[in-house]
Amino acid sequence: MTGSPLPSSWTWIRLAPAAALQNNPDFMPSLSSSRAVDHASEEALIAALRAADDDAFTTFTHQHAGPMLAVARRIVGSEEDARDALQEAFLSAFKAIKSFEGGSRLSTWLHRIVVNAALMKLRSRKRAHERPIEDLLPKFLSDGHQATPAAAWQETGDSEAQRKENRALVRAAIDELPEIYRTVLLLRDIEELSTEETAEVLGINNNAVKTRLHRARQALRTLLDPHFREGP
Amino acid sequence: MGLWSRMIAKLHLFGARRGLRKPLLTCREIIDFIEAFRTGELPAEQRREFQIHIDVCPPCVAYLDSYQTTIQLEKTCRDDPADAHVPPELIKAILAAREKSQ
Repeated sequence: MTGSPLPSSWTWIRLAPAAALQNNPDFMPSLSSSRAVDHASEEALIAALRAADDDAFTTFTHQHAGPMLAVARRIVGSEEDARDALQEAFLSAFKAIKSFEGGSRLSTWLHRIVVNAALMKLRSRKRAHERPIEDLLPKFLSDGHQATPAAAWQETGDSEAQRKENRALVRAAIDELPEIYRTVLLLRDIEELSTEETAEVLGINNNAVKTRLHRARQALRTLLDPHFREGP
Repeated sequence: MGLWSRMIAKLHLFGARRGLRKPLLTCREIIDFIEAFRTGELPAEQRREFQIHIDVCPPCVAYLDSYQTTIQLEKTCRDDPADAHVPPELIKAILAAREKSQ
């Protein structure tokens, strides 16, 4: 540790703000092709979509189906449900294109529709087994100390093989979270919706989003701990 | 940990043990307040106590580090190129459904 207020090993990163979808170059790499489409092209595409031009719908579908299917897959888990959600989302978007006001990018608008369709799909299926969140939260002694003191984690590795392995581990752990926590974590941390947007989509208040997100991250940390903690 | 931080931490502990001041934040409170600390919503006094606590509590440092790493690991879930592969028949089905719905 150094004399600075925080240990030097810390890299506190604020989560991306609400508008991350448009500005974060790391967000859904496959969106980069659509991002490259300049403003004028997008305006022209929107105009053609509003005029019910068949070619425009084909272009729009080809441009966005990939990244949006990735969103649906992350939320619903099942391939079949993800495809259904994507199809329903595109049909909703086709119907609603005339009311698209152009205040955001087309991809941002469509992303929100896909998230909603995926959540609807998620709500329609029952999950077989859910662990209570309390089992996954840290425990404390009566004096407020950690019951089992946390140990440092090893480096998570940056090679493609390591990232792939980590991704599988994290996805499996996220799937173990109770649904109401899993959903908030997916929307806030992975889909990068703002607290307000997440609250609106889920019909809960901002404080509930913040509380659930913190608990979800704590639970996820507990599930990952055996895989990453240093030592025996 | 710097000399100044260590002295402040010791003074706080000394005062708390003798009932001269309220105790420092506990580990439970530190872990409860992580998000408020990260987003800058923690009031100044609690923020100072938060920093004093982590200067003297390695388990809390380990917890906070691993909490941060957890969030970074979550981000790896969205960069799988395989996720964005769309079967051509799905695109055809979407466009066919549009035609049918007209």
